[in-house]
Amino acid sequence: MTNKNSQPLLWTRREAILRASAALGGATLIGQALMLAGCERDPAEAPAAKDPRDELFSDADVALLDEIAETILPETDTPGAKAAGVGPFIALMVTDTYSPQDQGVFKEGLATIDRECQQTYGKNFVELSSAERLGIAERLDREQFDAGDAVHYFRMLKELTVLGFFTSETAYNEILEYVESPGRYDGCRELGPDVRMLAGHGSGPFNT
Amino acid sequence: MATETYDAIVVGSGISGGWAAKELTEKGLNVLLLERGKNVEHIKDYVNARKAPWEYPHRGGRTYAMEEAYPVLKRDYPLNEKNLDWWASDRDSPYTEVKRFDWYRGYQVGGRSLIWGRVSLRLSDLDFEGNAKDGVAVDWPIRYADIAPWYSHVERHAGISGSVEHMPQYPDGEFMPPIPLNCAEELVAKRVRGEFDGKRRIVNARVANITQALPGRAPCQYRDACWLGCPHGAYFSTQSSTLPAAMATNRLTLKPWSIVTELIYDKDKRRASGVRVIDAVTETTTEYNAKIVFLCASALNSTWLLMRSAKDVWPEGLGSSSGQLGRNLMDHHFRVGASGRIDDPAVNDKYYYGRRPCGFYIPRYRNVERQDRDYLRGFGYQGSASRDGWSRAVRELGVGGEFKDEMARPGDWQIGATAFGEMLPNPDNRITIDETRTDKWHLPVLAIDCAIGENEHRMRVDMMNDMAETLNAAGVKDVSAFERDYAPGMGIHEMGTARMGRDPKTSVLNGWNQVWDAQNVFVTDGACMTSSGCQNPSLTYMALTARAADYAVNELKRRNL
Repeated sequence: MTNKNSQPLLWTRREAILRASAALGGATLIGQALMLAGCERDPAEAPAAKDPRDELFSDADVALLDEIAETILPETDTPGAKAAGVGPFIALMVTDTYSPQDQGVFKEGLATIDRECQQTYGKNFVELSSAERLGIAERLDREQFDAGDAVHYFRMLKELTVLGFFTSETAYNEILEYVESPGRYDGCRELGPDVRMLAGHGSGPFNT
Repeated sequence: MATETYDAIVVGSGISGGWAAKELTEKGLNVLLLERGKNVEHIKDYVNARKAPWEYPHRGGRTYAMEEAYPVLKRDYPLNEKNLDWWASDRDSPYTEVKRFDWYRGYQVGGRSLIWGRVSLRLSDLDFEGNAKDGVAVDWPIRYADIAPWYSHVERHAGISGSVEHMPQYPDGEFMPPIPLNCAEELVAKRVRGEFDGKRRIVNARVANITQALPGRAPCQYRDACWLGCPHGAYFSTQSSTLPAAMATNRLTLKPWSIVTELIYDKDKRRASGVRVIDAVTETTTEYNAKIVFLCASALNSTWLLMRSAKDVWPEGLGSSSGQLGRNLMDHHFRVGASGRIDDPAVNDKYYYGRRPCGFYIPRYRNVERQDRDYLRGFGYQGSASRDGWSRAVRELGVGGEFKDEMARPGDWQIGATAFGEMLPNPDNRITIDETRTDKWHLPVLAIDCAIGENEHRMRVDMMNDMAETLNAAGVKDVSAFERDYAPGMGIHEMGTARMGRDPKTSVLNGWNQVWDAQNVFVTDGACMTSSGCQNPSLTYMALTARAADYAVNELKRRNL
């Protein structure tokens, strides 16, 4: 059981950010201190100076991102990713925080999705029915899951969708239990079916 | 050149400097408190304290531009979108890494007291006697009895919550009621206590988060947003605690943007007459005079100041006659431990409410009653249990509506802890001044040469395996141990480089934190530590500072200084 090479060591940088305190139990100092393990970048990845006019994503790209995000986390009896503004969020995050290499993988991935949709259905992703979209997303999710630690564009999409959705104003208001100032701590209450998941406020970068 | 005169000058306004200012002003001295960075006014300047999480464009994360601007800070959690203003600029204040050393600094009024981890633990005689017993480095010049009343003194004012445990290696103090464990932690704590005969014990963290009101401060509201600044003043910081006390005396002058570049040393009187300061904005130079000077600039910067002072007498600087100035740099090594999942009918239908600013602590239990491991000293653990959050959606297979609704529910209970281990003093772990590089203010920078040694590497084996053993013994499922890369400095507990001792030939400071070679200069921050213990060190700096301030004022009254 005391395997030095156990799971936490295998986190990728982006996953480490998202997993944050999960395995270490909560958004404490500990979670923060460990969350960005191995986040050093390869100096070769240093970005070239960005021309602000050089937009990475077109409006059509952002619309596609919205639809993919909505497929991953759709509207149920609560709002889905599109209503939470996840498409534009993903575009911003890839533009501002990804390395040029990861940006390349991500953009190529978007093209791959439409290519596969064309091959299978003769249509682009946004033209598919909800069921068809879900089928594609399930297949790509399996692919990224089986890829393990290898970089996979659908993992990127899923990470940013999850992050963008669960830290959105929409999710905070309509899905999570967000109390800016709880005022008390109860270390033992019943977890009934109506109890929502607690949302963070300030601990660590992402309030995971 | 204007010269103002004060009774005392305090360099640095963080945890130690704030205490020096409070104690010296309350004892009647006119004090000048110099801070190299900007002012941060309590509450008013906590600009993100109430900001909603979705209001940050990158939801708190880091951009490429930030990573370029902060080549050191980016190595760990401090580089973030939420409180970046409170971390020093790597570009303005570079340093030379002979070996990798992560130096995370807070250059503003309040220093790192605004962003510290708040765990507040006393050292014990196990620590103060350790060097003498083990034949390591030099003996501490004090024992627990010398500092115990001062721990009490600072705990009462700072406000420390915690539980009374009656463990000699983990001395009790003046505590407010502890912040509770949650029911999963209680469950594991009870089993661990039984399995390990009370020797390994999960206890409530002792933290500088108050659970009862203090003047001008409300108890913790369980927001867990301390590092944004607390609008209730519920955690100890210079701003919430020591600065208002010092201000209330009307004897404090606080000057931000004041970089002290050297002590002015009077070689005839063998004392410092004052300090030389450059204005961080205008770069003009000023001198201030005082009867006594307290260096509280953070461990490495206080030593940097000594190294730059009295060089006409000692080429290596004030305090270097011992050959120990700059040596014996320490941190706490960590990032090693274990975690697992709790699946138990007693807690599977339980949850919690509120966001604690802390977790649990496991006091040191190795090499306590006798030396029986293949390394000296020991370690404590910090950890917590909580339910898995939405971030698990990334690692689990699934997309779609059912998946979304499932991920929006609280996940399984997880528990984990990481060890903080003692680092032995080693004269080869040292800082020097790198005359070939300068910072934004044309001042030469530090070169840091530090690594953990054999003793720490052997200890890390126990630090990892013990936690896995402890969790397994308590019935925790899927336990996995981890050891992640640790580089000195990551603990943000820099200690040593101007150690206290009993002999001027082998130490920089005496038992009252006075520089042997200039007895009106006191160094009371982390630089003074003769050994590191495994306990989070800030409370010890507070107590040593208050003790030294009391001594200094008494000596002034007796005209000995």
